[in-house]
Amino acid sequence: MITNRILKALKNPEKIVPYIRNRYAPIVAVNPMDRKCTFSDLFIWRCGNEWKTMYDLFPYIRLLNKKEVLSTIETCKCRLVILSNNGNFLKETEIKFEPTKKNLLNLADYIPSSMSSNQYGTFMIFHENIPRKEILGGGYLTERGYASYGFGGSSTLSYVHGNLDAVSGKFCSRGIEELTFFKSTFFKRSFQLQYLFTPGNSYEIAITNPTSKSHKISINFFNNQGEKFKTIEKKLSNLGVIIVQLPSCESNFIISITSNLPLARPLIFKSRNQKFLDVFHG
Amino acid sequence: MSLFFPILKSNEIYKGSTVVHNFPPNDVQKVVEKSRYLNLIWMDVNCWKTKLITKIRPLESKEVFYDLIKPKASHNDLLIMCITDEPLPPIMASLPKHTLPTTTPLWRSTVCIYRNNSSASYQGEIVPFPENGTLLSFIPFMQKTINTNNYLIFLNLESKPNSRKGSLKFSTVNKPEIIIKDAEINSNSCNFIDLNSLNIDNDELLVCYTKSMSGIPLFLSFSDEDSPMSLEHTHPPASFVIHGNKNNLQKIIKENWFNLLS
Repeated sequence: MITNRILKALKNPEKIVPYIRNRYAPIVAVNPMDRKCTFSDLFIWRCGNEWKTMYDLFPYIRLLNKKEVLSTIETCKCRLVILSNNGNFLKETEIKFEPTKKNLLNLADYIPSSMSSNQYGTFMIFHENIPRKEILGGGYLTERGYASYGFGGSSTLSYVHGNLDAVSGKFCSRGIEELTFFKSTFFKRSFQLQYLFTPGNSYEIAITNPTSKSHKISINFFNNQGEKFKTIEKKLSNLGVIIVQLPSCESNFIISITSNLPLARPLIFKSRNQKFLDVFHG
Repeated sequence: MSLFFPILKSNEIYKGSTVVHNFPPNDVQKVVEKSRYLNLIWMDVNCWKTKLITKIRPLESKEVFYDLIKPKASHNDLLIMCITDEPLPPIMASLPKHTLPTTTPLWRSTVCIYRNNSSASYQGEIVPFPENGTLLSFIPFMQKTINTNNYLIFLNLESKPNSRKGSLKFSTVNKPEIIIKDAEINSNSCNFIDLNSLNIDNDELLVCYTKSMSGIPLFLSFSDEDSPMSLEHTHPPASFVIHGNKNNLQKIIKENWFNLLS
């Protein structure tokens, strides 16, 4: 078996380094030891200064279980954990909702009123581990659902899906316990956004840190000849987020993000003439 | 791997374009930095036709607009692009098996729509679906505020150049036995479905499904009085679980829901 693996690796030497790097620091939180744990993305909230953040909470118990099981379950239960942009704990709330409908959360309702305007931070959602063992098949429920953002008086929200199985935790009546995180990488990795930034639009990029350590990140700017013309360096706290306003340029550019994060894939907020247009994953 | 980039079909509501990139999403997998061929592919009678759009330099991005690139002779509404090391033949019986190297995450394009002074996009790609595929999708994106319009764009791509008809049905998680909309769809097509007549409450979770093909459901919302637009896709139900047997999970969820749905 081992001989076969070595022979296979020798035939594909270009795959050895990515394989080792992915084994050492995979793009998922460390596997929890407790079957009652669930995973959550490290989502971003923006409130105040005209920003509005909503989250569509799914009734996974209904979606994953058979109808006959439902009659024994009256509510879906989860815990919403709100953190500041530095990753500091702000508030935790238990949420109960009907198992046959989605629950639309307005994050402003859960963020402590002491937070001043123009604030942002992260949030996580951990469900009570309710689906049957045979459905999960050795896996864990993961919350990578859909956040939406609005700005000013606009009634239309722009949706973006979750991206990472960033953190795992155990739902307990007194709070979330036994958190596991992404591993930091040994060597720096570069995430190259396959997105062309264009003049005329204004961009903010939001990067989260699902590891247990603070990290320095470098945002590198390249012109259409592939030449690097600018670098912005930032510090990113454990479980925190930074939102960086990209400088306006006269011509198209691309960016890469270099760090010890396994996948520094940002959210991008696009505006034009001070009007918010769209949010999407890089 | 066999990776393609769709261009959304323009219509009276929006203009479609896609930006493709000749660089990988990371530096983990070593991808050779070189010029590559950017090809347009569309379906004709029992064949795929191709056209070289341009040779694309290393680190170059190229935006291609549906209205400017659509071949006049084409009657099908699905346009896809691919990036290859070698030029493609002008006619193919099936889609190429190898286009770009496998990367983590996948090599993506920027799929855009433009409307008035606004625009929205998602980072996307499409891999051909098996002909016996099915779709079950839970959709939270319906926005019921006044003046907000909601549409579904259903993309299907299969390797063989055939077009089959199917039916995309809509229901809710609360009352799955009641079909609230039934839309005709085609395989190898960019299907556009108006959902403005759906009368559901804000907390209802929409289900869309078909037993005749698989595909990518994209949801578009906008209002003429607002600048934000929303263009986003759903994840398959198996993505609700990590580390488990996803194929088995997908099968169980689909079996369960296809029994509940009409």
